[in-house]
Amino acid sequence: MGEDMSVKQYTLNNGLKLIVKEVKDITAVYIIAGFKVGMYCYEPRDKVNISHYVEHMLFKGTEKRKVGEIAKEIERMGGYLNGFTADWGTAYLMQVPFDKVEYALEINADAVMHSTFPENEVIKEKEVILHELKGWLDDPYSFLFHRLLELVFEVHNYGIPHESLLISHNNLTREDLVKWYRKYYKPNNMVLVVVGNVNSDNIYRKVKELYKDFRPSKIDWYRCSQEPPQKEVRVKVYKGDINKVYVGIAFRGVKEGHPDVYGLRLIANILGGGHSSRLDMKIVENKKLASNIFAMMYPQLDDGTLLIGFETEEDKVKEAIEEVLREIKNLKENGVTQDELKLSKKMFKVNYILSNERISNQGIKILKGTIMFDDPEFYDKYVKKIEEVSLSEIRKIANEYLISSNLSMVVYYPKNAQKILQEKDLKRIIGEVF
Amino acid sequence: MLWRLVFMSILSFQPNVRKIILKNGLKILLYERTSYPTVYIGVFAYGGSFYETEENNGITFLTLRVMTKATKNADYKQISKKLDKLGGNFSYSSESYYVSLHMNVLSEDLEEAIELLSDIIKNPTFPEDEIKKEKEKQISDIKSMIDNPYEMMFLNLAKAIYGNWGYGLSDYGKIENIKKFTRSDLVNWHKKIFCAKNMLIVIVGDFDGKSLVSLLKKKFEDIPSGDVLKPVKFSQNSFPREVVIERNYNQTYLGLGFRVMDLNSSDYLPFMIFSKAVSGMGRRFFVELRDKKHLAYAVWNLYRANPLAGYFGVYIATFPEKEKEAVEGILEILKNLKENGLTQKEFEDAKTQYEGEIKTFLVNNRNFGITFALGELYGFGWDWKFKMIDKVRELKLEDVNSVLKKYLKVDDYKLGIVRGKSR
Repeated sequence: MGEDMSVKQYTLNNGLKLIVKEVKDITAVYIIAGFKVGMYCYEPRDKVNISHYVEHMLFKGTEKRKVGEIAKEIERMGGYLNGFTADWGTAYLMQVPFDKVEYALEINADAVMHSTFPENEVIKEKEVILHELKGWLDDPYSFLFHRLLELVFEVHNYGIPHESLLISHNNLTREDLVKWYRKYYKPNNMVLVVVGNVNSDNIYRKVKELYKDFRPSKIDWYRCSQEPPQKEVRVKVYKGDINKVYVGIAFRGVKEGHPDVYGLRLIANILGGGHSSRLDMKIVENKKLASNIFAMMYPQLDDGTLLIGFETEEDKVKEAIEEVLREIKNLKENGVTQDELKLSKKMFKVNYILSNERISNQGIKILKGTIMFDDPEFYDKYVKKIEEVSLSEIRKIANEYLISSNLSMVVYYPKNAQKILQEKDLKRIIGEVF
Repeated sequence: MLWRLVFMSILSFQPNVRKIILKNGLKILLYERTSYPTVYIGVFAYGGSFYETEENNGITFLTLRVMTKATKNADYKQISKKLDKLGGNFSYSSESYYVSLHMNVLSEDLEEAIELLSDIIKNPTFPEDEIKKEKEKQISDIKSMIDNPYEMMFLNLAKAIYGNWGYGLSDYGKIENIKKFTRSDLVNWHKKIFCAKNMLIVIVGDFDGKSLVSLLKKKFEDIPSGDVLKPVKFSQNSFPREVVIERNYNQTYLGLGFRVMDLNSSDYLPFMIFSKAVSGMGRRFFVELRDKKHLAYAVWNLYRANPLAGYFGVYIATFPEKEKEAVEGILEILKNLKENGLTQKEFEDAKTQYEGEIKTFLVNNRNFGITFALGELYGFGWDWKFKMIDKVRELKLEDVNSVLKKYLKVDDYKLGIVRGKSR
């Protein structure tokens, strides 16, 4: 959005895509390398978490650099590095001072092309990842989120039960990891994005040199089974060592890029996305039934969900759920107002512009758009698509997706709760209200 | 000044920060950056747990909550709608030593944003029904905090180090305190915090400086001057060596640490460099505890300091049966550091890192704004981070290693633990 910026795309002879965005008045550069292979969607059921495991191993040593050295070199510059595994891809990122960009690109290339997967490091990292995965269930929101996805997705790997995920992870071997790395970590499956105070052509020259020996090969991606349409309401109740009741509601939605995703994003925002959202005003401010309520659209590579979450007290659970469902029903039956739609669109636009202030956000958007849709500007076009959603479309989309047969709900109670609504009670409440 | 030349050599440009002091004593910092049509506005004031006692702990955050709900000109619905019209990027927090309100808006909405912020700061009405509602929400937040293992570990460690003072008090306060606060408690607390001499406003981004200054004068010059808020004095008592809670978790969340110097101490700079030298994925604690001993996924250092207090610690989330091994592992590293100090290489790397971090951190309006504001709040001036560059360059390894001998209390450490259930 600034004046002094330009985006250049290059494709190397080996298929590696390089995208450089020049942002001139800052002193940092964000480098993100991504591969089109990620968790869940690209993994066989008995190998779920392999992408994530490989991601952990990539900074664990190369032929040139021992374990810990990659991080040390980046941190010495005043930079930071990290990796993440999403369903659409696996990414390795660094933010470094602008005058260190070439050195950082060298380190990145070394990790990408020459990781050695030392046997002892593979064994140790398995335990480290086990800590990470087990920690997911200690935080109540993380618990709610994972248990909700388990309920929504019975077939797709998005819903793999946490216990099965741990087994799959435990069974992964070094051989599995190396095979995965050799298959998918190829230049023709890689996108490298550089955003910051750089000269595009210099970056191109450097990247071309660094990756000149990186050989492409034909890639056949494995894709997991897709989720069939949901037919009836799904409910699950859990108890845990917590003090409050946490409620999560999911409506099966659509995947990223689907024509209805823009309308669903606006609906989520009108329901629970801002300070003046319907759920905040009604459930939190007026009726005082819950706190920290939110709604968000969560579109993924293969599928998507519109998520609603809130915290409440044991004696308010029933009423809070009823009122939340009534609000959703009201939106479905009566639509939204022109003012609400206008406000929601403005919020989206402002947040888009503000998020671009961070080079890391720009880098991730470019990478995600390129890997998922072969379009670096995919997320730049989002604002326009959002602008185009009409009142009648909102109504149509709400009626198509916000239905009880698309609904899943998880209620997470304190272990010593006395008045627990059973699953049949919750189903009855949903049936009566919705 | 020499630091300006150094700064130029690091950032390749010199930030032209204007510092204005209004007639009522309110300080304003303005820095124009024109690459994005956006602006960050931060309102800072002394307040938070260092200014609270055990008996009124939580009043600062409750005051912030209620004052943002109703003013002479708008009720909560109108305020919420106005905030969303500006994009919804509004937040506030109480950070022990100071409170802050933050807004990120488009440049075209700046005037409207300032109007709203000045209304919230100058004209809150503290209606009883909003107080009741916000009390319930704050109590609910306290319960959420208790459900969050990391936050509880953090608070337990601070309590073991500082007892019921400053860092040892939660920003949300205690449930029994929240219940008893009255409207007049909040009105009085607001007067103390949001008076001109206790406040600072920082604005960074794409704006027209001239018209902005006259708008700021119009909107903020009538705030009563008041006085700078005085913190509560620390009274040394004996605190338990460890603060522990047990939960049915998969992991144990553990913090080991001790009290260190405050920001005014001459030992701060060498200790800050030490902290950098051992923080990060390529540094001692992470490499030894995670990479070599695979005791955890999450390992990092905790270092907090302000002009009144400071503490250093190491956080690890490990399996419950490995708690002892984790504590021994942390102590072994600390003992080694105390006895042998940092290596020359670690020391040099940390110094380079300090300068590099200025480049990688100062990349958006908000980060610039917060850096400038903290320098002023701490009494060092907005340019404090840059002034330190020269001093960091002059530091010697012996300076750091002698400070380590003084502060790394390996025989008198404290523990904050949220203990999980063994497999």
